[in-house]
Amino acid sequence: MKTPIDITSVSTLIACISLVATLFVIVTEEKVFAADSFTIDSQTNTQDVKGPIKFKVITSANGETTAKKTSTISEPNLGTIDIPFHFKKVNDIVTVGFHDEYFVCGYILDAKTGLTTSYVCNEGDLQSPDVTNAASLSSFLTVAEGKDSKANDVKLNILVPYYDKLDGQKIKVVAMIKGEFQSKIIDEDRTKANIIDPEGTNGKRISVMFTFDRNTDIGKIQLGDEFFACVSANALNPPSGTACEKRHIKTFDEPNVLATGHIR
Amino acid sequence: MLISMSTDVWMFNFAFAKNKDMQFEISDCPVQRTATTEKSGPCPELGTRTRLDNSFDNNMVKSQTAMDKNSEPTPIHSNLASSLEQVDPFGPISK
Repeated sequence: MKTPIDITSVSTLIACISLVATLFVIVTEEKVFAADSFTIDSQTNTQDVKGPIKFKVITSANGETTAKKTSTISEPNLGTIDIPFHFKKVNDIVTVGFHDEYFVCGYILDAKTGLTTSYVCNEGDLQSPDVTNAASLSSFLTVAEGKDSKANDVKLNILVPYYDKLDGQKIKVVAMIKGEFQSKIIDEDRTKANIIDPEGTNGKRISVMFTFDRNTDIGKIQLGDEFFACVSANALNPPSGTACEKRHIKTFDEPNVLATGHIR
Repeated sequence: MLISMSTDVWMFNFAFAKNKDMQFEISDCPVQRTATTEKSGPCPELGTRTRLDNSFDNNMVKSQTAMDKNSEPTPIHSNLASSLEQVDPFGPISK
């Protein structure tokens, strides 16, 4: 005598098998993803921020830089804006390592005008390429008002280190201001190293110039605005393959100088 | 039990869903690249057609409460460049 098939049991069994298969795929993908990339998780505390807003956040690590922008957030005061950034562990210039330096900047934008009302930056050391590195952003600063100026652009003169170990190596230089970034890959060459080290060593530095339009999509660059520069190269190790520094814009009439990375 | 397990899968799969009290979309801002230089460009306004380079990507973050009533989420397009005209939205990189 045949036993009637219990449709409910079969459905449940199929659902379970599907679920296990789905979990397997997800776990497998996660492992593959984790193997060749690392994560910096920007966690922005907006509990004191009144909405509606938009939010732009930019992160630079291991010689790579990414900017993201949100749609309108109507009630930012409800919690934390959590936006992860994923970067390759290995690229053409450098391999990520413990204590590599990175920066994250977040810009609160007026939802209607899209202009910056406040910002905050976090310069950190990578804790590990194998875990999610949390980068907290809080205590927002109001944007610099700045004196009136007719200047259309701002120049950043980034002084990168030169020493024997770096000779002939490629080094990547990233500059960021007001959510915009530019980068250049240069060859370390003794003949280019003609700048006295502002850090007071006997070594010389190479000048890498960047020009930014003062008009950005989140407002005009003003005196007092914070800017960052990072240098990346495997030959910078030890102590780290990426080093970053920050300063504030002091002038539009001449380049704003920032030495990043140390001469060994 | 199945319902509860399914919920866990969704939470695991959508790692972006930590913003439990907010809903918004995120877009990657475009970048102009050459072999040795990069230059970021203006971020696209979400929900509008924008001319982009092929580095653009678009993700959406969801959560359970407090939706933005002014902007409805738009579908995810992971390869917008294929359907949009390819142009250079930037000027030349300053050397």
